[in-house]
Amino acid sequence: MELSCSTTRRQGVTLVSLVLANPHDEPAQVRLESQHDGPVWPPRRSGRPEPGWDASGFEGVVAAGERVGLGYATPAEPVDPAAEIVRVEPAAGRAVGGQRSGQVRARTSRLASGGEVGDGPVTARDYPDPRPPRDTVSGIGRAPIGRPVGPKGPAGAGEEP
Amino acid sequence: MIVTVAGGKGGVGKSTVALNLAAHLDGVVVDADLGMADLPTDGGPTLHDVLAGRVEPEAAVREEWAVGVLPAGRSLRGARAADLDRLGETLERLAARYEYVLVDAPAGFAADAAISIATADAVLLVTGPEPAALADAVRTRTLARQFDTGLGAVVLNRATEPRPTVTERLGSPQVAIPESAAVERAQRDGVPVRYAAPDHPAVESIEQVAERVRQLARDRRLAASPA
Repeated sequence: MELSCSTTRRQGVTLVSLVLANPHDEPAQVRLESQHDGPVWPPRRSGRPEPGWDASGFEGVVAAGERVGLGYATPAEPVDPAAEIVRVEPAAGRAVGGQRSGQVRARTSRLASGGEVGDGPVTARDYPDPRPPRDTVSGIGRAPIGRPVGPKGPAGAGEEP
Repeated sequence: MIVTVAGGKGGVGKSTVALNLAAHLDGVVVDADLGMADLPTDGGPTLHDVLAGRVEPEAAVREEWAVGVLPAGRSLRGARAADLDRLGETLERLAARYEYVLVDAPAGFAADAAISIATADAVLLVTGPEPAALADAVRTRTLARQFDTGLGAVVLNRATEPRPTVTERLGSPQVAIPESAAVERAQRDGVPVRYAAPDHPAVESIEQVAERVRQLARDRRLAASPA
């Protein structure tokens, strides 16, 4: 797994752009951690951090032969390197997606009382699983190795699912 | 009594309302965001630990903080180990011990938000005046109706006075909390405004919401007592 980082400092905020490349022929689960002496401000959508981010870094799966662009911000001064890979393991055979199977037991009758409305989820537990899936990278922002990933703004700007 | 502070959109001030209400009601705040925590934590046990079955809910509450808080976890590993099926039960356990359990619901419409609302005795809808926030608040209101959770109040955050258009879309009663640097600063420090700036106008607004919650609790007790 290869990681390249670049940082820019603007108005008291360090913007970190990262490119993760997996040159191998099988998908890999990777954990990278910010080396800054300060909090990670992950990219957010509708107020929620993008999948895969936590307080110290990012975790997800990079598909075989692919590269992904990532970005985050931090109030800390730039350091070199901005982030480091702390763990890589093969992700082959790992279930895709973070959703749990439909066999869900409601804890209380209130949790199961919503069956009258529309075609949407019928119990609270049937709503989408909020927990970050293990393979958060594989579906986003990927580009084949060898093709330029292009300039990145902060927080993964420019990456579309 | 379980009161869930919800709204759908992130950044509208749910955590601020939950923390400050807990201070007025002498309640406990549960940060129910399983994806990423909003309220500060200190490295001790979190909701993740409770939902993984490692810690009893009561043991994870920080009694020594400015208000009692059960913080959310901050690691992906912890989030994955959390058993969502335990969330409703956890809130009910805490409600047996604390008179007021204020649930700081996550933004969005995933199962953690839905369970927080379905388990609650009342929901407080927090919104800003902007269209995106209102639209998500309407969706949250629909979710609450689906689970038969009553509307406790609408909290119009960062506004000087209640707006009829908001009442039309979301219902009533509506309380406005004025925008203020003092409120933001207190939240950043994890301190309720009533302690950080006791004379601030926001304190009176929060007390209005608190009084509404106390009224709901009285109504609930009356309804539960034998005729």
